[in-house]
Amino acid sequence: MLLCMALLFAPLVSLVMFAFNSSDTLGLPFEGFTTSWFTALFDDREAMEALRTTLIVAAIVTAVSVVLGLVSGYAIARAPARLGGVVLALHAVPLVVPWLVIGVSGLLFFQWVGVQGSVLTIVLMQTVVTFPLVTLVLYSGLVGLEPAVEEAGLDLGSSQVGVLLRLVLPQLVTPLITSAVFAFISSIGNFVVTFFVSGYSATLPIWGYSELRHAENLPVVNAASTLMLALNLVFFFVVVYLSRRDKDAVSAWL
Amino acid sequence: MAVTLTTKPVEDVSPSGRRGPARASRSRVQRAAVWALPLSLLVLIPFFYAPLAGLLVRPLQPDDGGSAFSAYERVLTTGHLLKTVGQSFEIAGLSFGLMLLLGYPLAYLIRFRVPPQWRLPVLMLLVLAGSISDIVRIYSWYALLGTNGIINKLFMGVGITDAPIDGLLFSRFSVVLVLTAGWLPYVVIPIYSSMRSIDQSVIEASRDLYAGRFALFRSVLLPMSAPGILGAFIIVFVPVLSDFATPALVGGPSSLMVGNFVSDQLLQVGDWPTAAAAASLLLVVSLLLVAAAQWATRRLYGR
Repeated sequence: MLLCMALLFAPLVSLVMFAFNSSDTLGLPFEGFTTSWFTALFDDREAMEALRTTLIVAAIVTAVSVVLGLVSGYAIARAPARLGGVVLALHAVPLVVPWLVIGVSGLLFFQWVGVQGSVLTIVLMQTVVTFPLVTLVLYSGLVGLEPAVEEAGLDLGSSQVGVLLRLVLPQLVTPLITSAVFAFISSIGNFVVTFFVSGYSATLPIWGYSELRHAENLPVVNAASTLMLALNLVFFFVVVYLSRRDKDAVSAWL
Repeated sequence: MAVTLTTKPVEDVSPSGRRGPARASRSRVQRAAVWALPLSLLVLIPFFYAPLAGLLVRPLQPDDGGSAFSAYERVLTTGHLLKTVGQSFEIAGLSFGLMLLLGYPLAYLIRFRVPPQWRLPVLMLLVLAGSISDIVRIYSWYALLGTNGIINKLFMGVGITDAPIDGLLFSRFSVVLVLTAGWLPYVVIPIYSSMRSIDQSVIEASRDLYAGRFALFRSVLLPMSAPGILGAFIIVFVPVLSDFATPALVGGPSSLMVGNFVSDQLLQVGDWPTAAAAASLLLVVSLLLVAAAQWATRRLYGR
């Protein structure tokens, strides 16, 4: 258990340590504490542009994935079983096709229709690999809920949208939040799919990858990675907090 | 949930009265659902299924006007690519084996040894580790494995070696290590999930029957947790097989994988039909592997 935890976390700890080390090569000994790599990061125009793109993409992907996942999860759970099963299977395929293949097919597709790689193409392809999992999670949450309640709502004169908003949503708050966290985290970290469809725009992982390929300013990449780890941690604590409130909702993911 | 209404319509005293409207509104829920079904397909069909179909036919449209099947032919007959495919299987197989070796005992410990109130926090740590961006995870090994990295300095300080070990980074060793560590959480979690259905008392019973550790594993744990292993295979082996960031960042010439071939053909050589053919090959192999794993699960457990 200790070995596993060391494998998982020792590299990350050393990464963070070197982000604050004043030597500009990535190695021991430690020369002194500095925050100058972070200053350098925030002064780096390309990196800041990439950060902005990352956050914009993640915000849109999160919103779209949650809405699509909710609608499709609900539709699949409440549609006639056979039809729902077919659509469910259509949502499961993207989860087993390697991301490399999805990314490459996206690149060829957008080139074929004559669309340049941009924020739009990144958002589209990230959504394709993100929302089906949200669909599956919300679907499995909804299957356990009693449709009779929704029928009663309709009988009492509520509209279908009203039923969705007032009866279905309140029961799904925790899975919806964990889905949103999942979508956001996987969007900011996504490399493989984004790499092929990003064109001339870059997200932080793409920027980091090209800096690494050219072995350029590694300490600044350390600072950027530390920043991304911090983002991960923030959202991690959101999920931890939720897991205290509602154990079942989080363990549905495990 | 607070709602515990029963699904079956209540057979009440006057059947003619109540069932009619109830059924009508059920069909209204269903009808709304059927209307909502196509919405997400409007995203999946144009941006997932259509590009995938395009990928499969792209090799049939050669840039240089050669014969229609030349790109597929090239991919299936070039020794270079086939060697890379073999190498990918070796690396992915070795990494997945190591993940099982480390991850299975870990899942067992979490399920049966960690006190219940600590289970969720430990799992959450795994989720945290698994949620970190590939690039950050891969890069984080530079500081440990580099020439002046922590491990080399440590080894030299203790006197195990005199000079820095070269092969720690940019070798097959580092690729396997980084892949193993990176995907470990995704192996532990499904195996743990499948172990949740194993009752502690089953293990105690087998102990009472004088089952040794190996017998316990062989005839109790393994059969009951095999769905988790097969699940981990689908979640982990297939993406690892098509990984290209890890070999590109911490690999050497002897650890290139199919993914590197595809991205090089696309972005450096510019031979798109060949890249598409290789990616299609990867797609077919992946789907076959998933199908095989699902078939095995069904065969073993009838579900």
